[in-house]
Amino acid sequence: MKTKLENQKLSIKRLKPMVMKNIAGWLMLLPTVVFAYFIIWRPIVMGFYQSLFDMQGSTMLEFVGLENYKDIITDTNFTKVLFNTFKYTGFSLLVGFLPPVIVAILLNEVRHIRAFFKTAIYLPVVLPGIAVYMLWYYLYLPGESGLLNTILASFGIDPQPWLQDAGTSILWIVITMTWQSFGGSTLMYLAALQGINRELYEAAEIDGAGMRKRLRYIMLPEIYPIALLLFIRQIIGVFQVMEQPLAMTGGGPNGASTSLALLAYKYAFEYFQFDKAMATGVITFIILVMITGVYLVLEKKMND
Amino acid sequence: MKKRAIDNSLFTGLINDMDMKNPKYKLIYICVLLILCAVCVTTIFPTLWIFMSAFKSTEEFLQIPPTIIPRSFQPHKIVEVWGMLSFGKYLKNSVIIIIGTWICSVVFNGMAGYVFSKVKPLGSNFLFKIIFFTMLMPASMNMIPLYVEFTNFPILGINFTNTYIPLFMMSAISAFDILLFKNFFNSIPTSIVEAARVDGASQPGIFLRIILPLSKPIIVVVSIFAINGAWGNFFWPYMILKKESLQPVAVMLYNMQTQLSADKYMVLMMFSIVPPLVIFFLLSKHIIGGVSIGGVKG
Repeated sequence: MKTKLENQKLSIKRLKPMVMKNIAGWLMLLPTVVFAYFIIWRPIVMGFYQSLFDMQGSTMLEFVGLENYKDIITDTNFTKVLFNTFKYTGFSLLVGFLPPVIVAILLNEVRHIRAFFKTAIYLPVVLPGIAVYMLWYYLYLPGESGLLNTILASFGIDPQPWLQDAGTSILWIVITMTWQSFGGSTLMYLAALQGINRELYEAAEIDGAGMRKRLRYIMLPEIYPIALLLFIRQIIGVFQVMEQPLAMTGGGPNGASTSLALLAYKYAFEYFQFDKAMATGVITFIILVMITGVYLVLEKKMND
Repeated sequence: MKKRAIDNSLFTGLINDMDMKNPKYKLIYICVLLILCAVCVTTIFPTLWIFMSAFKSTEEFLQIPPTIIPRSFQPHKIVEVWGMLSFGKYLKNSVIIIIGTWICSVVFNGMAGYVFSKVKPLGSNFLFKIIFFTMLMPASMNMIPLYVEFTNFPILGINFTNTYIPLFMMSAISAFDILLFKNFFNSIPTSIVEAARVDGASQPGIFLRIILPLSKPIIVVVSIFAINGAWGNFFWPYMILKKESLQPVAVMLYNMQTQLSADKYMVLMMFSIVPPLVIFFLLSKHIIGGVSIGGVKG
């Protein structure tokens, strides 16, 4: 029979490797904690904090409360920029959300040269972003020298102004974004479709389910969770669009393609008003939290 | 692995082998192929157009309307543009950035993924959740504060502009890479780690001698994404590296837009897309497999 003392000894013996394991583990995590602090956590907190101050360049002067926010929101351009940002998001969902689903379903049917199709569809994803923006900038050149206009001309259509048309420039940028990114989503949908248990199809066949029913009851439910994830990710991603208008239009013509993130960039690096730039970032953040919040609530209600 | 095995077989959902004997379905199938071919034309043609334009003579390039199929072929333009812009210098900078970024992203994210999966010290689960949650926060919010931080770092007020350190630091923490590694290490049986521990191996020793050799596939996937990402990364290098002698190819591509004639610019664009394309064609299996493994890569 073990005495109490022996039990204690035993547990200390067990405790020592436990402690060592914890110390070693946290030592290995130390770099991650340090990087997370400087790269993620501190900037988020500082963004909130400094947006409440009057700043000279990047030095904080005095606490002004919500003054920066008031200045931004009352600026005549702000509503336009906000509307533009929603336009980006809306257009990108309209233009870019369904094609990957459709292409993946088609790709799933292909028996010939599937590897080629997959490679070709994924091709734009591996190209450097800036090269893609510049490529499309040249494709969209207005006048007769642009490639798209040349192609239109061979169908007898007049040259279009493309990016220089204030009403549609956002749409053309969205098409570029879709072109570059749809391959990645397509392959994700395809992987989900390929993961479907074959027995389901066999069972469907025995039950005499046709093509439409197999699509509706076997394939779409499989895609649904990924579609949901990509939907939210697309909203969050496109709402923060900045590099594309920066490189392709500079936010023009006449501010017609300026997004919230680009506005923050301009406040910081064109007008050197870092306080307003940070406040713009916080506003973007708040809107995104609201959108995702509303979406998640709706989603939950739909599921219940 | 299992996924890829299924991938290679011809497993379809809507039109099965029986249907293919029916002429109606055969027609549908041909339509499917045609649509996919059309999609591929839209992805391949613009890319190809860069190559075709790069080799055109200046004269032909400026011609209105432009020719779609080139008539002239001038490979010497490559050498000319390379020399004129001293492209090698930018290439060298890109390579330095790539190597640093690559090492940081594999080493630090790999180590974190390993600890989160196998060592699991007290409270690490909580840390993982916090990192993951905060990484989901919009990047546009910490863009400006992060920039301010780099110009006046909270340790000794160091100014990191015109150094590569911010780029390396940013690659050292990626919730996505950590998650990839963590999921991969979860699939390695814990008994191996336990056995090594009983034999008296230290934590770093277990990681270096046992886990690392086993995790080649995941390291390959993360490396490809890291290297390709570093080559294409334009915004942060553009913000941080104001000195021209430090700038990588992607930043140069942005800056040269206004300074270079369009036909020479096409050559430059070609330079910037050739390395990713070469990597892609050599390793497309890993890359396309990686998308399926990773799932959430944007």
